[in-house]
Amino acid sequence: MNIMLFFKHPIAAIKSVSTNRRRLLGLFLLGLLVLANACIDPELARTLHLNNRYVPPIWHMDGQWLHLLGTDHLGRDVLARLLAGAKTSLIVGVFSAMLATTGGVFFGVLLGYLGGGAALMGRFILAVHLAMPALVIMLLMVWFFGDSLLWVVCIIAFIHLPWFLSISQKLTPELIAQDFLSAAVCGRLSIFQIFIREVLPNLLPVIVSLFALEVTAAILTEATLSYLGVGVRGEAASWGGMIADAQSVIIFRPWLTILPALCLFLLSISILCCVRPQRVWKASAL
Amino acid sequence: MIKRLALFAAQRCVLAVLVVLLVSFMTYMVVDVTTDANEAIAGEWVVISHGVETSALSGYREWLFHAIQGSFGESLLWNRSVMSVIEQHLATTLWLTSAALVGALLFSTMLVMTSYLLSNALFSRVLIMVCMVFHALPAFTLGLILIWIFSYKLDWLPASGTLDWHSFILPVLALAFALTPRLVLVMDVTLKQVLSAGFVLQLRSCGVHGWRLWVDHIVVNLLPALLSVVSIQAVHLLTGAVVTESVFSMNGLGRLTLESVVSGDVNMIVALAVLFAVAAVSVDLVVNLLIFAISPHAETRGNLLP
Repeated sequence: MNIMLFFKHPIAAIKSVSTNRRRLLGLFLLGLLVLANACIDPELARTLHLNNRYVPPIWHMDGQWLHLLGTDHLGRDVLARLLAGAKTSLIVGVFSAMLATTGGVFFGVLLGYLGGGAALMGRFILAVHLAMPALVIMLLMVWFFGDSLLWVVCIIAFIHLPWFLSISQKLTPELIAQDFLSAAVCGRLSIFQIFIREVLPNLLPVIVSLFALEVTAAILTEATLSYLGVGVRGEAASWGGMIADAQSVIIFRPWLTILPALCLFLLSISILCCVRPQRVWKASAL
Repeated sequence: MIKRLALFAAQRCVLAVLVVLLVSFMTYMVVDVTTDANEAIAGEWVVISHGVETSALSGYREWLFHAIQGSFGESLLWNRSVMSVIEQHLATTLWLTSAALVGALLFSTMLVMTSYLLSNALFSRVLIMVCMVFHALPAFTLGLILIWIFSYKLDWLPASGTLDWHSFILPVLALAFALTPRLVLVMDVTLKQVLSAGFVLQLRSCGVHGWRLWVDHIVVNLLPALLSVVSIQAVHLLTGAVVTESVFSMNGLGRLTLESVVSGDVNMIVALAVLFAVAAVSVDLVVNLLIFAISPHAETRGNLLP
């Protein structure tokens, strides 16, 4: 799908999306999640019922209609917590991907455009990025500087930014060598206009695929952090944290582990479904 | 050629040292800022009794001075020298990661080659789909699934510990499974790129085919890309080790890292971060030298100087 189609011919673009079954499925799952999130009362995920712990889900013999998917070790409703966890995951995924993409592409194009010493700096940043024990740094920063949602978003974006930087830096010189850019320079467009009108639309297909990949990567990273006990805590529910809590009772109450894992999996699959996979892998192999 | 290789090696070494210095500096600063914050909570005696410097820069200089001599200080949690604790945990992680890397490499090569040899559109599509599905699963979920199946349902293998090689099977499998999809996807793309290049067509039309085409021409062109992927995966392996070791409760460096972060064992954290950076950089160094030796004109990833 051509991204620019959305801006020029929105109706044709919507038609092309609606005929693609895979993409439709992905969007449907995402939409369902957001809708369910909007409907549910966030208080429900936080209310404790300590005399109502470990209620099994409805398909079980002792299931209750009041708690469709049962309750956890503190008597909180699992369905409500799953939905609240979806909110956390989506916020972390989308916002950190937005931050990382914007920053990475901006600096990447800048460094690629400047070339020379700036390109050298880009290479050094990439080398540091590749050598950096990312998880250790993330663990440190989250553990010591607090675990608010905003901070987790910023850290994940900061850690993943060099990836976008290096890819857009690599693509920019190839673009600049093209004739239409020389034409744009001759046409006395300002650098800003050249960036918006010529460079960005040509980078967009790769960026969008990378964005989708980054959203899933950020979601999985957040889940890993909370699984290790260093992620978003307190009021906000997180799927990784739910899995960590339920891990000790995996033998007798496997659904408590399986359900959040399944949610995590479905969310990342439905995001990956929305973009063309071949393009994503080509971009990630860059 | 030798002169160019030496120059290249020198450049890479300088880069490696710079990267390690930067990583150590960053970690030290993060830790230092936070120990200042913790000082207020824990009280003065921690600072005095363990000699944590108050001035960050001079503290880093002193730390670096000792680190070059090979002493990373005392661990606050273990009450022993940091190096002895790391030595104790090193073997587990080394075995785990190397076995997982070799396993994942063999497995993904097998899959990609099967997909190529069958040249079946359905098979390669299914392969890519399955890889995507596994890519969307976080590593710890995979580990939990394996524990659920093999330790609980089938009761074949232990779920945790590091007693003998039996207990290594599940973690290695989990780590290798987490690694394989990425390798397969990248290998698939690279193989297609090389095979669709003009020189392959020309060689084929000149009558070169079979083993000679593969060994003399295709593999040589394939290896640089594959090797650089491997060097990148080495860093992912360490990340994976932290998660896998926590899932399977193994006494490795990954779990040590998590424990020292959670308990605020400052000297240990800095030493571990430096150790990881050194590992990543040295793998990168070796891989880049290999790539240079195989094809001097190949573009290397993360190369500082063109």
